[in-house]
Amino acid sequence: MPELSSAIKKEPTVSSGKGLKETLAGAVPVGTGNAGTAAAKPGPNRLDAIAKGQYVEPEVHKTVAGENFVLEVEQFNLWYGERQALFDINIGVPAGKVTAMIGPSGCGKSTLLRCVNRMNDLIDIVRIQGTMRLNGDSIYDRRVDVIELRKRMGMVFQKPNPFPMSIFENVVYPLRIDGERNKAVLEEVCERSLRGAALWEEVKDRLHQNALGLSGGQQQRLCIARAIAAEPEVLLLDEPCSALDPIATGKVEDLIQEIKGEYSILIVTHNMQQASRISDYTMFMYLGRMIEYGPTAEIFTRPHLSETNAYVTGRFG
Amino acid sequence: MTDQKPFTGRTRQRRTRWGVATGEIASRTLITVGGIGTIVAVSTVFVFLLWVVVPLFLPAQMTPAREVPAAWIAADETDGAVLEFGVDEFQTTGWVLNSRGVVTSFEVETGRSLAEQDLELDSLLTSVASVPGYAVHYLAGEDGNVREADFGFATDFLLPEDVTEEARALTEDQVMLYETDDDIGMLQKTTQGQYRFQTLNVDVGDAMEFFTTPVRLLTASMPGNELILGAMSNDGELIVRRHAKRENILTGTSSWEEIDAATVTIEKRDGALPKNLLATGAGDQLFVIWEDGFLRRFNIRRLEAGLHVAEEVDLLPNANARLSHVDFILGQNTFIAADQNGDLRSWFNIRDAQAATSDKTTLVSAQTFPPTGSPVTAFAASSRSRIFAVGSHDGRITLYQATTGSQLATQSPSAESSASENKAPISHLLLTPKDDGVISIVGDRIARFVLDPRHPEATWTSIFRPLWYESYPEREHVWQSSGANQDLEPKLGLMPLIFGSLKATLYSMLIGAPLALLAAIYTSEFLTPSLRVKVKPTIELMASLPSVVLGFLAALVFAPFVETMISTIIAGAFSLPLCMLLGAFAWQLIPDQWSIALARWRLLFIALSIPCGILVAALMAPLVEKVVFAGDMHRWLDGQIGTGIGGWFLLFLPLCFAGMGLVTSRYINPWMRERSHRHLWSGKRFIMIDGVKFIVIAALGLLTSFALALVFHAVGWDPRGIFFGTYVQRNALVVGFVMGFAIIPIIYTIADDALAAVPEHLRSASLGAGATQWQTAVRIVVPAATSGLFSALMIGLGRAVGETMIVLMAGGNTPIMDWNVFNGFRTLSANIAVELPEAVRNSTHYRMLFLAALSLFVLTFIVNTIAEVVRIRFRRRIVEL
Ligand SMILES: Nc1ncnc2c1ncn2[C@@H]1O[C@H](COP(=O)(O)OP(=O)(O)OP(=O)(O)O)[C@@H](O)[C@H]1O
Ligand SMILES: [Mg+2]
Repeated sequence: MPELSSAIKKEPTVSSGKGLKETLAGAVPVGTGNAGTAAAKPGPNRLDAIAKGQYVEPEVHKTVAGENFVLEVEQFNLWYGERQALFDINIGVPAGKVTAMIGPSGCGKSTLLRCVNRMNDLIDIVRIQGTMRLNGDSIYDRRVDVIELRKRMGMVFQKPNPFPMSIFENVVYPLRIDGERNKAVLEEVCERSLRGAALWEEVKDRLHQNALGLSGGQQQRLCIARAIAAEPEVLLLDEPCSALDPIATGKVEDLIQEIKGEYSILIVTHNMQQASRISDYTMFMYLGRMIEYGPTAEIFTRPHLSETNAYVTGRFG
Repeated sequence: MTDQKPFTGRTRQRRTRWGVATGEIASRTLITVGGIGTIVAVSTVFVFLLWVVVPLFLPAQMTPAREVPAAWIAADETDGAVLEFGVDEFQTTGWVLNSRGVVTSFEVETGRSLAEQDLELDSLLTSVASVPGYAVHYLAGEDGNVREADFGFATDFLLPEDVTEEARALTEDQVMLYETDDDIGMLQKTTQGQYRFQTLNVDVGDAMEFFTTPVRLLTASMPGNELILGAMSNDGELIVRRHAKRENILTGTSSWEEIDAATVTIEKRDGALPKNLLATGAGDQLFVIWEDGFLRRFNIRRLEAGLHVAEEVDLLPNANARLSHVDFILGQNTFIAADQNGDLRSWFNIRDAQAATSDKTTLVSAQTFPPTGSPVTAFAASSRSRIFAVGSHDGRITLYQATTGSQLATQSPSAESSASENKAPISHLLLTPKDDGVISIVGDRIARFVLDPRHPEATWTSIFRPLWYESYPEREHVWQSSGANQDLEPKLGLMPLIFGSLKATLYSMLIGAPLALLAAIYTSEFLTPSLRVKVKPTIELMASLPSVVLGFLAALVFAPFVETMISTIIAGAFSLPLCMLLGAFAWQLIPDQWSIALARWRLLFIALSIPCGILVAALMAPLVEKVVFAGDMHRWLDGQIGTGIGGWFLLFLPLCFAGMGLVTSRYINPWMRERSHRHLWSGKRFIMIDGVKFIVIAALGLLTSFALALVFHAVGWDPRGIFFGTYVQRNALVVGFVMGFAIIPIIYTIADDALAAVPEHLRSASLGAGATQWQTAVRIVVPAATSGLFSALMIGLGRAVGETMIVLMAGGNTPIMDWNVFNGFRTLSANIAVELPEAVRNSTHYRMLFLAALSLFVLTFIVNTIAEVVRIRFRRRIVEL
């Protein structure tokens, strides 16, 4: 994949987010002992405190702080009108890795994801506070060109949203808006992206039919193909597999495995197996707060917090 | 039913409640009734319009009423041949004048002769000239004199107590011969219970001497207050005299006084003297016609200069044919030449600057009528319309309309007369004064027919095809439903009105539709929702302006304003977009921090470029007027000064700019993009280069359009007369602006709703893929909303087609077919509004107005149907959204 790799080989500028790493490191009481104490705390208390709106220290594993961050979020708060949906989010998304976001429905995963490529700008009532940086470039700076920013990030939405045009045009849409006219390039990109999204075999004979004729799962894979075709630095996936059957899910997971390392991927999922299979890091969110963030293996096998443990083992959420 | 424990604490009643079921049925019935009712209402309107319109196209009806013997007509051959006959408007009494100068009045119903009156002319009569529409006749005698004779019917109303016992027994519509002390006439009981007593009065004037030998041919015409008489003797001497009316104040009578005269001797052709003499109703032409179809035209406008041949024409294309009848129809401008083969042609004189004749007019054959197939033996012209009847040798009567050339009705001889021994050709024919009957004399029988010509001037051809109207230089579409006097025929071409409707619609859509659509795209895609909720009602408020107010403003304020500022407005059409584009470049050039900080006020800055554009236009206007319009636009448009180059230049300018834009986006922009990638141009540098490119392209556009203008000029084409032309104050441009203004709100509202209905997730997908708002709007939102946008346009179109007040007040109401933006027009709707008050119920005019309404109905119906079909096609594409 020459197209893909050329974009991905672009050396991610080393983040200037030293400050963040320190915050993250500082926020986490170092040492398993501390973590153990936290885990020993009775779960309901912590959740109750959050529900009451009290500040609860997020638990960030120290392995995370050692990573190179492609995306850094600092003291991020978000309100939908009067209602606050995100509280003091401080995270770093490692470059070239897959980071999964898990948490009960309505905890703000999609909201946080949308904030990354500023899709929330479209909602009139949204108000934000805090900073986000992509490879060190501030995302919410007034001088930022939103269009350029979005071109650096591909997004797959929770609900499939293909355009009412042909499958081919759907996939090459990001190229079209860049003014690409070379038919050979368009076709090449279309095929590669569709193969990547495990859709090629199903649609190769009907590329010029309307995309709305596809099934829900096919539409979602089409959207993934469209996101890949844009050659983004970061891929934001909001429950990409929720509408897919196990085979297609497997293919998408294969794709994620294949392209990680070159892309940085932030994925929201409700599927714990999926999170444990594909992600390198996992963060657990609850009621607009980040609760625990660490390497996937640790989160799923020996989380620091009992709440996390309860959630991943399916005892609540 | 299981005893299931309710989960929510409430047991749901699964049976549909009675109230809900009733409501369901009631609402369904109501909706069905409403829907069907609407369809029925619309169809009823259609059917009603059709009901009024259809009689226009029904054929004329001529049915035999009665055929009676009238032995007295030809009781004695030596008694004198019938020269002329007439009938009163109620078809009760008729009269016959024979060559002995005896007038016999007769009862039309029975053919009984009533009375004889000898005019005591002391001479046999040779020729009678009549003036259509007048009761006067001119009688020429063997003594060389001409006398005026007035065949008037005097009508008296008698009260029941004044009439005899016998008369009192009359029932309505019954007619009887009645004698009073000094008169004999016909008595008829009217529906009001009165008795109408009609008597024939013939007044013969003094002899006017023309020759000492018998008069051979005579013609008369009465233009204005003058009388023109043309007479020819057996020696070929032709005298034309013009008389003026002299009123005698003392006696109250009037007489003719000769004011001009001219004489010429006409030589024989092939040993024959002319067969006919015809003077036109305007008193300007005299036609001398030989039997072989040769016509010599004299212009008699200035008699003092003598009689000079103006033109010679052969009326018959066939060398062997012989003319059997030549006579004028109403108005004495068009004459019908009938030959012995039964072929009929109409002729009239038209002005023609290219004509080789001395007076720059020429005689043309406008219509060829369906032939009768048998020699024409009798001719009768209507005294109120342009229909005429011919009787032919085989006894057939045929009715024609002179302008449309159509045969209205034909009547073969009755069984009675064909069976009779002395089967004879129709010798005399008459159309009754009210066009409600035809009376013919066949041998010694009088036949009467009831005639209902219906609406002879309205046919499919006369309404929708160009027609050659009297005195017009060529076939034309003309709408002129009523004229100053009766002689002027109604011209019922609907095309100028349909054209007017289309022209008004086109120009207003050209101005209104792009503005409304762009405004809708702007508010739905670019404006923040909080501003949008304020802007939308404001624009919708525009719709609440009554169109009569708009029309009033357009006619009294805007039209005069445009007239004085026209060159500024034309300059503005180019300077405004230019200023906007330059403003956009300027915006790109200001530092990023500023532009983002000022982003909130972008609308203000955009608005700023409008006054800039207007200022530029005002400054440029004198220059434009000087360079393009040779210094004076109104005179240039009139074609008085300058060449067509400027006009072509202006016409090609938008085309050239569009073409250049296309070339740029296809070839130059990709190249620039590639170079900018390769050489890593900075944003500012790119914009500078882009600006230079823009200026170069604009200059190139100017040059190409100028070159094209030169080429077109060199070929010899001039846009004046096609797209431009004489400036009229109330014109299509004014209407375009104002009606465009009127249709903006309706198009805008529907378009904005359609755009807003495009699901938000499509916008998110597009923006998420890195598209700009404009790209999202153009590539995703607009295509997805196409069906709605199309409906918006079509509803706007429907409104524009039917709009009345604005076009009525600002459109000039001249029913002409001219694409000239600066000329007026008359739309179907405005025409209905203007003319309906003056249309007599059930008249041709009245029905024509209904046809106009029907055309409007059909026009909007077609527009809406197309709209619906297209909309459904578009909608099918995105129905899954
Ligand atoms: N456009 C919006 N306007 C107002 N509130 C919103 C809006 N979108 C989301 N919210 C609220 O913000 C909170 C977080 O929503 P979000 O969609 O981020 O949840 P989520 O974690 O993605 O849930 P799920 O797993 O069900 O997708 C919810 O309480 C939701 O009601
Ligand atoms: Mg979500």
